[in-house]
This record gives sequence, C-alpha cells and structure tokens, in this order.
Amino acid sequence: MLVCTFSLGELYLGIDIVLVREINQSLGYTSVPGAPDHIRGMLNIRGSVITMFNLKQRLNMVKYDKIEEQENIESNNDPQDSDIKTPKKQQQFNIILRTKSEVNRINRSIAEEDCSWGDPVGLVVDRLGDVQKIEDHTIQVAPANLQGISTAFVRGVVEMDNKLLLILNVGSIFNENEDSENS
Amino acid sequence: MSEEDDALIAMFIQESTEHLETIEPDLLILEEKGKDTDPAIINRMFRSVHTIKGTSGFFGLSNISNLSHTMENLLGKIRENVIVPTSQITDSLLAGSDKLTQMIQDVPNSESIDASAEKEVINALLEGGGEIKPKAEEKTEEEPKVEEVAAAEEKTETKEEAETKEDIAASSSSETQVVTTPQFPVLDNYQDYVNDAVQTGKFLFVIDLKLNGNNDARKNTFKQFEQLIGPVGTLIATNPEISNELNFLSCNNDILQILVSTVLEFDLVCTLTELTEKEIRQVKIPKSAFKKKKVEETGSDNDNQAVADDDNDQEPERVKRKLRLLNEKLSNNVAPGSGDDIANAAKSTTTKQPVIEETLRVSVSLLDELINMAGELVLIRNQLSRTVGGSTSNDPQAPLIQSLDSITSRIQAKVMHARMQQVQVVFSKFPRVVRDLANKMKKKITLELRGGEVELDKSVIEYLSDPLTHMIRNVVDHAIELPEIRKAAGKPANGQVQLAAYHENGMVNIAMIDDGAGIDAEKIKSKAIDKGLITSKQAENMGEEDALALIFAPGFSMAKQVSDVSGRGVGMDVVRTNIEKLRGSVQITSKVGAGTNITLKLPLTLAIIPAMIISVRNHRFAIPEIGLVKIVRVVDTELEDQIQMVYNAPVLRMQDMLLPLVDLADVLEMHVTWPDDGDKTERRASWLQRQTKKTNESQDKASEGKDRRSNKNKVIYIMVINIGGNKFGMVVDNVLDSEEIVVKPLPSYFQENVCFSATTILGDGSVALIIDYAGIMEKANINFGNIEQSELAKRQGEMRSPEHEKQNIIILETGSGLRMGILTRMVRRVEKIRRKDIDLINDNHYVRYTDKTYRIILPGQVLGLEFDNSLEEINEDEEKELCMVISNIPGLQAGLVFAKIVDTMDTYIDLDQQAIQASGLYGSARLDEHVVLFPNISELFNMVEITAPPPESIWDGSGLKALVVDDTLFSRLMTSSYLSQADFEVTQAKDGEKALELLKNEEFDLMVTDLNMPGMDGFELVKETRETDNCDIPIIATSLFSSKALEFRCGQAGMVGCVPIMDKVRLMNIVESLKRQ
Repeated sequence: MLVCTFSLGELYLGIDIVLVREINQSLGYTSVPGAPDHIRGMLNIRGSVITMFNLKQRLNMVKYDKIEEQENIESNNDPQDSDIKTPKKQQQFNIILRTKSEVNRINRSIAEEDCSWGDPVGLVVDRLGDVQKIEDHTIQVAPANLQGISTAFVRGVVEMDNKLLLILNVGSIFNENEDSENS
Repeated sequence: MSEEDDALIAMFIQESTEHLETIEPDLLILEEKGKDTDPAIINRMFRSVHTIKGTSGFFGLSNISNLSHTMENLLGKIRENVIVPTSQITDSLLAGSDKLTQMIQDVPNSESIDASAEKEVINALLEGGGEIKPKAEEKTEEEPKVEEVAAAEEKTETKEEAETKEDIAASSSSETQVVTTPQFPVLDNYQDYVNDAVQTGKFLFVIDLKLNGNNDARKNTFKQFEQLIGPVGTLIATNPEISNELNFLSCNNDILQILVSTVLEFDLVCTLTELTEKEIRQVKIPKSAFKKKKVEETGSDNDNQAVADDDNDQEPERVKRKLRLLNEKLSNNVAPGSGDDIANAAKSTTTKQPVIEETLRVSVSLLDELINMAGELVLIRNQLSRTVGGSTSNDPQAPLIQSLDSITSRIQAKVMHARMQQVQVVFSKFPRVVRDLANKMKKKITLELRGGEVELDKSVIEYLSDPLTHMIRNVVDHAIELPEIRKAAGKPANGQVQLAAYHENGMVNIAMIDDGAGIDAEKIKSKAIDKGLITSKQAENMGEEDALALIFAPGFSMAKQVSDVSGRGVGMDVVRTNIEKLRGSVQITSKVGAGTNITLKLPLTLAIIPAMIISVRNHRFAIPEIGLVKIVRVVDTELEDQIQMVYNAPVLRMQDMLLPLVDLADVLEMHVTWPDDGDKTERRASWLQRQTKKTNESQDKASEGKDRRSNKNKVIYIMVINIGGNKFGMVVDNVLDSEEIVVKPLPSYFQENVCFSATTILGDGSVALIIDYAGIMEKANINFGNIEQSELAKRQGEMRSPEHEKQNIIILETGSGLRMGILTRMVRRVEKIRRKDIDLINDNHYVRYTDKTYRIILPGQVLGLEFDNSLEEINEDEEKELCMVISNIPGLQAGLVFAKIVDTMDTYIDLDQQAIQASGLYGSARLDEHVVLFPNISELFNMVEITAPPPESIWDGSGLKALVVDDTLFSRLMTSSYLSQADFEVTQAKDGEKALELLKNEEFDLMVTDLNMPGMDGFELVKETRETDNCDIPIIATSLFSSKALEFRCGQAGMVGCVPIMDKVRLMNIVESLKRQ
C-alpha cells in the first residue's frame, strides 16, 4: 500500500494514501469555542467546511514535549488582531481527508473499515514526508507503549531506514468516543 | 432492469401526482358549474384519469388502475352528457381522486389499500345513470356520439349503423393501413369509432366468437355476446358481416370476428366474455388513422378537443411525451394490452401545440452543488477584486475584474433562482380544503388566491404547507360566520377569504385576509388568563396586537367547542413555530365584525440569509438579522448610566423595560478556552465584573477613575434580539459588517453546542459560525416570565406560576436604591428610627425602641446584593430617618432597616424565581416599572444567625414528609419554609390535581392545604385524598380568612385544623399537637 508520511515533532507517521484527498499549507482556522482541545478549528476548502483535528493534541503528545506544548498553546491562543492564524514558528500542513463516499468510490472495504467520519475532516501536522510504498507483510504490530500514544491510534509499525514509521489508525482518530488518555 | 423500473415508477408517481393536482381544481369547477362546465375541463380530467389508469396498468398496479378506470367511466358519461354532474358525483370523484393520491403516494402498498368504497359509490352512480338514460335517449337523434356508448337497449340501432360501416369496409378491403390486425378490421372504415375510442380512451378489440350448431344456436350465441358486451362497449362490426339473421352459417371456420369498442381493458374483456386470450386481440390504433381524425376535428369546428388544445396547460403534455419516448424504448417489454394503451394516450397528444417552454428535471443535490460552487466563485471574485483593487483605476485588468464581478453576481442569482418554486404549489390545495371544510361546517366561503406566481425557495415552500393549512382551517372554522349570522350582520352570505402572496422589503409576505367575525382582543385576554397563560396584571398592560398574538401561544385555542376541524389547542402555535423556524415572522391584525388579517413574513430563501458579522475577542461570528431588533452602542464611560446590575445580572435600561444582557464571550466560555493575555482580555473579561464593582463601590472614585483611564474610548455593542417575543441583549465587541451569507451545515463534531446553528464562509474565505439565539438564551440561562416560558415551565412541572390572589405588600428602598417588597401579613409594624438610635455592639447593630432593643440588619447586605454601609457612616446626619420593619415572627426581636418606604399596594405579584436567585430571596417581580426583590425574612434572620428563642426547636419534624398544597406561590413558599425549618421534608404542589398525583405515588406524614384553589379546592382534595394510600394523613387547612364556621367545616371534613395563611405559630402548634399524639 502507498502511505502518505508526515512528521509530528519527532514522530514519523503515515496514513493510507487512499484516504488523503489533498494537502495544503495552513490557512485560517476558525476555532470553535467550547470544542475539545484536539479540534483545531474549521477550514474552508472550496466551499466545504472541513473540521481540522490537531493531531498532536489528539494523540496526546503534548505532555511529552514541553516545547511543543508551548507552541501549541501559543497557536491555540493565537493572534489577537485577526481570525486568521499564522503560526509563527513554522508553517504547518493540513492533510485533508476524503469523505467516506469519496473513499467508497475507490475502495469499498477501506471505506467501511477506516472511515469513521461523516463530515469532511483533516489533520494538522508539522512536516510532510514522502509517499512510501509499504509491503503489507512488513507491517508489525505496534509495541505496547509508543511514546505515550495510545495503541488504539496505531495500526502498525514499519521499520524504514533506521526510522520507525507508525501507520495510523485513522478511524479511531476521528472517532470522538475513542479515549486518547489511556496510554 | 430493476433500476430502470424504479426510475419508471418514480416517473409514474410524479406524473400521476401532477395529473391528480389538475384533477382536483377541475372537479371543483365541475361542481360549481355543473353541466355548463367547459367541455375542455372535463376532457382534461378524463385524460388525466385515463393516463393514470393506463400507466398503472402498465406497471400491474391493478388497484390504482381499477379505481381510475371506474372514475374514467363516470367522467366519460359526464362528458357525453349521459350523466349530469351533481355534487354527489363530484363528491364521489373527489373521494376517488383522494384515494388515488393516497395510493400513488404509497405505490408499493397501493395494492393493499382498500378503494372498494370509492369504487362502489361511483359504480352505483354509473348504474343509477339509468334513470338519467331516457334523457340521453332523447338526445340520440341529434348527437350520434351519445348513442355510441349508450346502453344495451340501443344496440339494435348501433348494429344497423355498424352494418353500414361494414359495407364500406368491404368495398375498400384492399387497403393495407392496418398495422396489427390482418384483414379485419380496416379501421379507416370506422373512423368515427376510432376517433371516439381515442378521445374517450376506449380500446378496440377483435373478438373471435366461435359459432356452433344450426343457425338458431349461432344466433343465440351472438345475441348472448351482444348482451354481454352491450353495457360496457359497442359492437362496431363483424366479419363476415351479419346483414341479416340468416347468414350466421356463412362464417368461415365457424368463427365470427367481431370488432368491439369498449372501455374495458384486455384482461377484463377476457373475463367478461369468458374467452381465452387467443381469441381476443387488441387493435392498435395507427397514427394514420388518428391523423385523419384530427383533420376531421379541425374541420368540424364544434369539437371539444380543439378547444381543449388551446387552453390546456402544458404539463401533462410534456410528461406524456416523455412517457411516450420511454414507452417506445421499452416497447419490447411492454405487456400487450396496457402498453398500447399508453401508446394511444401518447399519440393522442402528439398533435397538440408544441410545448412553449422546455423544462428539465434536475435533482436538488445537483442544484445545491451548483449553488455551492457559485458561492465559491463569489469568494474568489471578492478575493481577486481585493488584490487588484489596490492598484490604480487605469489598471488594464480593472474592466476584466468588473465584468467578472457582474457575471459572478448574475450566475449566483440565477443559480439561486433555480431553487425557487411558485407559491402556487402550496396554494393550489387550499380551494379543496376550503370547500370541504366549508361544506362540513355549512358555511359559504369563497377563497381567492392571489400572487401564486410569487417565488420562494423550495425549502421555504416545503415548510409553508402546514402553517397555511392550519391558518386556513382556523379561518373556516372560527373566523367566517354561518351564512345566517353573516346576513344578520349585513354581510354577504358568502364569506371572503383571500390568500395573497407579495413581495415587500426583500421578504415575501403571505397574507390571509378574511371578512369574518374578527378577533376580540379582550376575549383573547380573558381566555389566556383562564388558561393561566398570562396574569391579569399582564393583560391590563397588554396592547391589542400583543393580545391577538396570544392565539399563537402554545395551548391556546379559541374554539368554543372542540371540532375535528380545529380547536384542539394545537395548531396556531405550530404556525408561529414553523414560520420562525424559517426565520420569518407572523403579524396579526383584526377588527371585531370586520375580519382578520394574518400576515406571514418570509425570507426568500433559507440558503442565503442576511446577517451581521460581529466579533468577540477577535473571533468573528455571524448573527442572523432576523430577530435582531437593534444595535445599541455603549461607550465605556456611559456603561454605568445605561447598564444596571440586578444582583449579578446586568440589565440595560431601554425605554420602558429592563433588557437582560448576555455577554457572548461569557456564554461561549471564551475566557476559559483562551487564557488571559494582557489588557485586552482584562477589558473583555471583566466589563461585567467591573460593572459589579462600580455598583458596589460607587463611592470609590479613585478606583473608578483609574478604571476609566485604562479603558478610554472603549465601546461595546449590544445586539438587541427578539426571539418569540422575548427580548434580550447580547454584548459583543465589535460590529463589523452586514452580509448576505450562505448557510452551511454545522460539522457533526460541534452539534452538541447549542450556541451555533450553522456555519458560513465569509467574504475573505474564512469559516464563521452562525449564532443560534435560542441556544444562547438556553446556555445563558435567561428565563422569560412570559407566556411561552410559563407554558414550558408548566410542562416541565417546575413550580413557577402566576399569582392568582392579590397580596398586600409594602415596598421599601434600601440605601443604594434597591427595592424590596415585604408582605404586610409578615410585618408586625414599621417604625421610623433615627441614625443616632443605632448602636454598634460587638459588630452587630442594635436599635433601642420603645424600651426594647432590636437587633437590626440591612437586607441588601445580608443577601449579598449590595454593599450598604449606611449604618457605619460616621459623617452621616445623625438625625437621618431610616425605617425599620419588624417582622411578626414570634419571639424575634429583630428588624430590617431600609432607607424609606416607597409604597404599599394591593397587587398581583408575578414572582419570577429564575431571574434573580439568592439564598434568602423568594424571587423578584416587576412592579411599576421597577424590579422588586422579595426577601424571605425568616431566612434572612437565619443567615445572620438571629433566631427566635427556643419554642421553635421543639417543632421537630425530622424524618417526616410534608406536602404543602397552595396555588398561591407566596403562601406556599411561606408554609413550606415554616415546615422545613422544623426539619420536615417538604414537597410542594401548586394545585389539587398535582397534590393527588403526588399522594398516589408517595407517602406523606402531613399535608397542609389551601382551601381556596382553582379547579379542585381544599375540601375536594381532602375527599379525594381519602381514596389514596395516604388516607390517614393528617391534614391542616390554611385559609386567607379564618372563622369559627370555617374551622367547624374543616373539622367535619376530617381535617385536624384550620389556620390563617402564614400564621406560623398556630400552624406549628397544631403540628406540635399532632406530634405529641
């Protein structure tokens, strides 16, 4: 399978490319008062409103990285004079995912298995990586404790050039009921 | 194939629905005009029913087909003037068309819907047509057409004519225009019959009749056949022709071919004649034959068909054409009989005038997508013009941008327009509704529809149907009087109802105007008071329009008797709810005796709404302009003057009312999510707190001055919002813009948040949330003491009801101007004291008065509502008079100190327990345009640990449950507080019914009930109580006035005592005596 890779702090992550509709650079997020922390806000992509998840928050990575946390609060708490947020330190990327019906047109089983989201959603990540071709048999079961990330979010691990690529279980990330706390 | 079938059936449903929609108004015309009805209209109905019959037959929907067939027969007779249309007939046809509608709306189950009753009625009428028949016979001479379908008695004549035709047929038998049947028959020879068949939707069959035996037997067989077919069709010709009775033997192979024209379909003919399918063939009517007919028709000008062509609406034609195309495509799969039938129907229309405007069915989702993209286009345009806009005007790109600008706007407008539908869609069903209702109620009503061409968005149209139906029903039921009454009032017997749609101020108004009895505002008020929707005090101050608007309140119904038309007390509230859901409003004006005008104001579309873009803490939100009354700009320095604090609830002084304020940032919890960051937050987060501070420390000039300096020129905006008659103010930082916004759904992740209703995309491409006023109100906990809220409260079983008994109260003012009301009944006396009389002992204040020393407290201070230091002020005038209220709590030597007495009054108190809540406070109420707080005196004293000497302690009800029943909130609360102070676990009930309910489910140790209550009074309650599990419960009665006679009556009723309301000592004495027992 082809995996779209990206990194989040020190983590090297990937998701099935079938699920990815497009990738763009951070635009203006509209934050939603009262929404959970891991929801970064809403984004307008050609007329449809995309709910953007802050992957770092969602994976509960913040408490393991003080600097990152700092950054996060700043960006969350962001600019005072405009609704449009422009992160100061580095430009983040938005991975906009396909909707269930879009995936369904490509691969029905993936749509059934992975697409837990009804509305258009996207992930906010730090840096983009390459698209990697992964042989299914090289994917190993995730170790029980991966830098504090709940295994529910990880489908498997692949060793690549001395790096560990975590294949994310996207369905559980967008499933609000999934508990991000137990790690 | 199955998908194709589904698509075809869907088309059938749509087409049939369209037909039925035209049938209904036509039937109404038929009823009105009777036999003078324009033949074109009858033709149209006939064709519509016929098409439904044909298509349903094609799909094997025999139930629909049979019913429509029966209706078609009756319509056929009417068309041929055999049967004169009476109201009975139109009734039966209307019932039939209703049934058809029902079946067509539920095609999958149509077979199981019972339409036999409708069919029976129509068939009975058809048979009863025999009585009318002689009339028809008279006409036969002049009108050969009638004769063609005439019944059995005429068949000899018909046969003769048929024979002559056959002669011609024989002479021209070489012609080969016939498509489907070999040799026989040659349709051209029976042109009249063919024309008739096409027009009336009859079928032509060739039936092979086997003839056996001698001539007589053969003759008998033929006669039998003739008799069989006579009532349902016409025998046109035979092959070989039977010129006289003797040549029956000459048939080839003993088979007599008979050409029959009949209204029956193929399978029905089979059943009727008991012949096999092989022996019956349907004759296709070829185009060529039909064309000739057309020529003939236009030649003979008196034919109805030509007229019908001209004034016919185009719709059925278009559908038919489409169907024909489909039919041709599918002709291979078509069942033999009915398929041809459709072909016939289709052909019958091919020569109609060309359709003037081509239309196309487009799915709504495609339109929505287009709208979405058009919206995007607008955004791109905006962004582009902003980028280019900076450059000079002689920029070569400027004209390009300009044309892009205009074309974009036009595209958006047109795409939006594509979703529009005419109001007519909704209006068209009302003539029928009015007719039916008027008949039922024996009223005469003329409904006039105007402005049916006014267009509204599809979604608005869909929501409009219910409210309008309710309104129409109400008008017929209540507004229009019976004809006699109308005449007596000097009005025409026919009531006029006008339903008109028109544009006004960018909205569409739909007005329903009647000339009926009108609505009496006073009656409405008294009814509303009866129903407990408003208090009589509210009624007094209520304007006429507000009173009329009460008819839209939930639970209000003006019908004196409940009818099955309206008057169930639901309905009119549905009107307002639905209209407000559409972001519209309802207005009502009425004049007694002259009529009523209800106007609905509706937005053109839901997809685009006008909105204000506001900002709160630099987050932008859109708020719908509908519901926004006005915007108040308050400069920081004026905050104090304009905004008052009632406890910690800010209110804005506005004309005659106090407007509750909500800080949007607070409600959205924006401080919590985004931590404070400097001055801005300080300002934002704290204007309310600062406000509180200011009120509390109004003397502290220095701090205030500082406050002002740091916030100079700061402005806040208050959006005054009216939702369902409730007004509140929403505080925002800034008002940015007014925009037409495209409404987009809220992502599911935020749907739990009641504050937002949807999202939109702003001019710069960023997403903004649309605020939901009702959600804000809910979140901010604003409760309005008006009718809707009280209705809601009632439903939720909350104890909050208007007062029904007048209370005598003293209104006093504290040092800082806070008004409080105290029931006179609770006051022993009010005394004037002087400042110098007050002594400070051990941080507590005491007053020497008439040889006694009273501990005094400041109620505002105890309640925590204000910082009143009037007791401490040293430089205060020693002679300054204050007033002390000494309560009648026995053994308590304490008083409340106020600055002055404002008033005493006898009044109804509409106590609001929600708006201002504090321990020691019953609630608040508005009296004479002031908010008056009602403190619970004994609780106040308790709060500062002033308690009456011991006697109280012996009233120990701990572990016991008491039920307090009183319709008057005040006395109920008082009595309850006495009992709960004695450690009773107190449950309250506001009337007898409620109390009984509680008594049935729970066990109580004591009940204290008011004697005088609406509905079930105290005595009844006692009687009913004995029926419950709590039959042994001791009951104490309370009453406004106590007398020996009353006490005696109470004793008789089995109550243990009767005490005056709020007489704590006597009440508790009885309780104590019970305890001892």
